[in-house]
Amino acid sequence: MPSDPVVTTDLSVRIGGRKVALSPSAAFTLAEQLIRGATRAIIVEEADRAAVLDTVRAAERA
Amino acid sequence: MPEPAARAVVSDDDSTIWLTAYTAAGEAVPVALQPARAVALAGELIEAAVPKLNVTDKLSVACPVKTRGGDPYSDQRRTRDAKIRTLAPLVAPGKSIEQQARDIAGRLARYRPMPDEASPERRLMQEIVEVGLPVGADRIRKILGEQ
Repeated sequence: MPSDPVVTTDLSVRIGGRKVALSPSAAFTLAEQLIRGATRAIIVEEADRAAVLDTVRAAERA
Repeated sequence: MPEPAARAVVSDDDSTIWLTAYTAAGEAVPVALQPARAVALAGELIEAAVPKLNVTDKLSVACPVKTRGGDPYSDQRRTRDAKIRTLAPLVAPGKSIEQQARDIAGRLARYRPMPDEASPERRLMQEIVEVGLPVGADRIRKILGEQ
């Protein structure tokens, strides 16, 4: 499994032994996409957890 | 030494976030990220990118720091109010606050500065007028009532 990505001060990101040089705008775009993806994943996870809890409580009441 | 890659791409399938480096030859090196790590990585990218923009000075000029709320003339107002409180017993001693307020407001409205103000009342009125903040009888009554 490739190692955790690392951002360097020369504005490159190292991903599994590969180094991608970024422009500032490319870095901001990448950051935006990461935050969007993370937000979506967190919301989905929370919704799933709530759905599971609802199911468990419904089963307990039955 | 890391091998250079052409671009980095973010993708996700609603549960896993992938950051993939693509080489010029089309080879893909994907890395899965936890949401928290993705957010942290975004922060690191922004932190590294901001200094490269080299626009700190321009931004500070274009967007000067503004104070939110508050009274921008609070110092002048405080000075004016203190002088009004000092003036009140000089121009209308022993009168009620309402009478003092009306008296001071009338005097200030009529006041025309002289080149060399000698009397303390006129000097105070000059200083109140020079503050540049308009003040009427109602406001003066409140100022005197706050004593």
